[in-house]
Amino acid sequence: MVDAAHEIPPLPTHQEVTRDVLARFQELGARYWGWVTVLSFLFVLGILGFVIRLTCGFDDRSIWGYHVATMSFIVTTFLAMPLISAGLRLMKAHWRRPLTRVTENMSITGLLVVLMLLPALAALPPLEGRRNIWFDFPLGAPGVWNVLGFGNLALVGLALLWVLALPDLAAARDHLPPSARQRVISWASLGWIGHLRQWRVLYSASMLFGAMYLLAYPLVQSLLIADFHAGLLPGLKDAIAPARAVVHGIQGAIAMTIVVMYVMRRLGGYERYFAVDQFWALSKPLLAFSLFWFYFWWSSFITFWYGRLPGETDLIRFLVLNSYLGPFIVSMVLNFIVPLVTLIWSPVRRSAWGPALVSVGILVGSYVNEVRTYVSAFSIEDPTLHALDGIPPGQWPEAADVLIGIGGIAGCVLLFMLVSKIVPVISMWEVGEGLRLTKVRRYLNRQVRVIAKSH
Amino acid sequence: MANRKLLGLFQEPQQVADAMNELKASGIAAEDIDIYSGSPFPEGSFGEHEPHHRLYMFPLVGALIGFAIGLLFTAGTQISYPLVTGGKPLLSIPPMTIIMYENTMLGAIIATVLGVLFESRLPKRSLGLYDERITEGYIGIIVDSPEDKAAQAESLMKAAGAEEVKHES
Repeated sequence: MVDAAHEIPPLPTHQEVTRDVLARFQELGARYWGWVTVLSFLFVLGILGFVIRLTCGFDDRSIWGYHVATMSFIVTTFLAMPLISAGLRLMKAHWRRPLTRVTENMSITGLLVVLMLLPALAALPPLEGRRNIWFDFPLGAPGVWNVLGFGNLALVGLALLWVLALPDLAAARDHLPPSARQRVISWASLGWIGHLRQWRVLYSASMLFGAMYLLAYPLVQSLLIADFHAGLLPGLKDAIAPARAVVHGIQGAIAMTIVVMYVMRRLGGYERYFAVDQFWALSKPLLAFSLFWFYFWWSSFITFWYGRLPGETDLIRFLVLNSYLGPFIVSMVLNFIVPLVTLIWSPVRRSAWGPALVSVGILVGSYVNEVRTYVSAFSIEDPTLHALDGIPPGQWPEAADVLIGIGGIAGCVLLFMLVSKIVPVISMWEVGEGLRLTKVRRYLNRQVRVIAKSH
Repeated sequence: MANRKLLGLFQEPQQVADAMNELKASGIAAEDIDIYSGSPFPEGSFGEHEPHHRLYMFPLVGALIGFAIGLLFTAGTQISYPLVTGGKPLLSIPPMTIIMYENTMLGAIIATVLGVLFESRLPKRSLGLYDERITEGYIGIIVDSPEDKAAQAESLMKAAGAEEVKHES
């Protein structure tokens, strides 16, 4: 007899999943429009903050520090999310299926990042006389090549989203009642019918675009940290800064994915797709990348600590011990200590609320860390010096900075909500494929799920 | 003799595999049979022919073109306008690497998008012989059979459990 505690409820069919997801997808209720209105308002406030900054021009670089920090936060969290689906798909992790589309839909935020990049580039000082990765290269550096690097990431993200959504766009085309939205979706589905060749091509494309996203993301983080941080801080010689930024990005991506899943589970009614399995599985790499977070920081810090040259001690005082001590402590606690002391406990990992709560902390810590990284660099008056000329004070945000921060984050959520009404937020074909490969079988006195692997 | 297209709709994958076996045994070539589905199945699940595509060539070619453009742009301009700075080598390798990498990526991305469209035969203006139930989990067998074998193909699919067999109008 099967023990009731280990009984697995019957799995839904592909048809049930399609009908359920499309029913939610079709719904454009008052609550949805309410959220869109609130987010649009906040986004407009962000634009207002940006306009306030724009009226001050680009001569005073320090006023753009929070703008760059917000942009970097988006790159480190929202725009890093497709890394999760790309990585998990390459590893053939079956539990990924319900969450891949959520992460891919976030690639739309790449457009916002490219727009935010333009004024950030305008605020950069000339390359001449300061250390930079362009070695005074005259042809378009750094502006053109930053735009191309960021643009590549946005482009491959959108390609990943569109191509992998084709089967679900076709499902929406087939089953939604005629409307303007249905016509847009029908056009976007490109006439997909799901024959053998199309599926083989789609499978290969998922691998190729996933690999390309994994290749494009580190370059963007490297450009960010090199041009907007290291190149502006006199005396900073940190060889692992780009790698550290990528690690922060992966930690931020996992944390943001968990938070989005939790919100959709609680507010969107997606409990059956975002089960404890998904939170449990993601909490393990979250813990690992929280440990990496400390390891990379420590590896970077230790060279300055033992180097002890005057310029190095000044930098430590500026970034860690004095001017930005508060943000550093907040970030260290939320990005490393809290995840470590909570996620080592299995009951916390094996829940939805535990990883979600820790992830919220990680996101707050990440924003504060981006402020520490970029606002500090933008506050340096003369980046052509060999070492800091004294230790500048920390820079608190002004009203415009707060507006830009709120507006930037609201803009990302707004874009996600809008695109999620064109592209279903659950990948129906991937979930359907998983259901076909899964069977519930009896094993001794309990039931287990058996997942088929064809290769 | 003209060919006729049939679409058999099945609910269960096992029925599709049975129907495929019967159709092939009746003399219809595997290349004349295709499967429509709302989610992919492992290769060979139905004993179907393996459609070959060359998608992997597209990013390769695109990347090579992008790399060549990046190399020409960076090295070409520096060689065309030689400005020796501080006795350092004319070609500045580190920034060249970044620019060539970006161009390589751009070429690969654009070529892959084009490759997906070309290899998937998209966009398609008309869906042709198709049924909307396929995106809900039904599986369709498309048979492009000679006129004289169409009736036999239809009866074989019905015998294997097809819920409906549609004809091209």
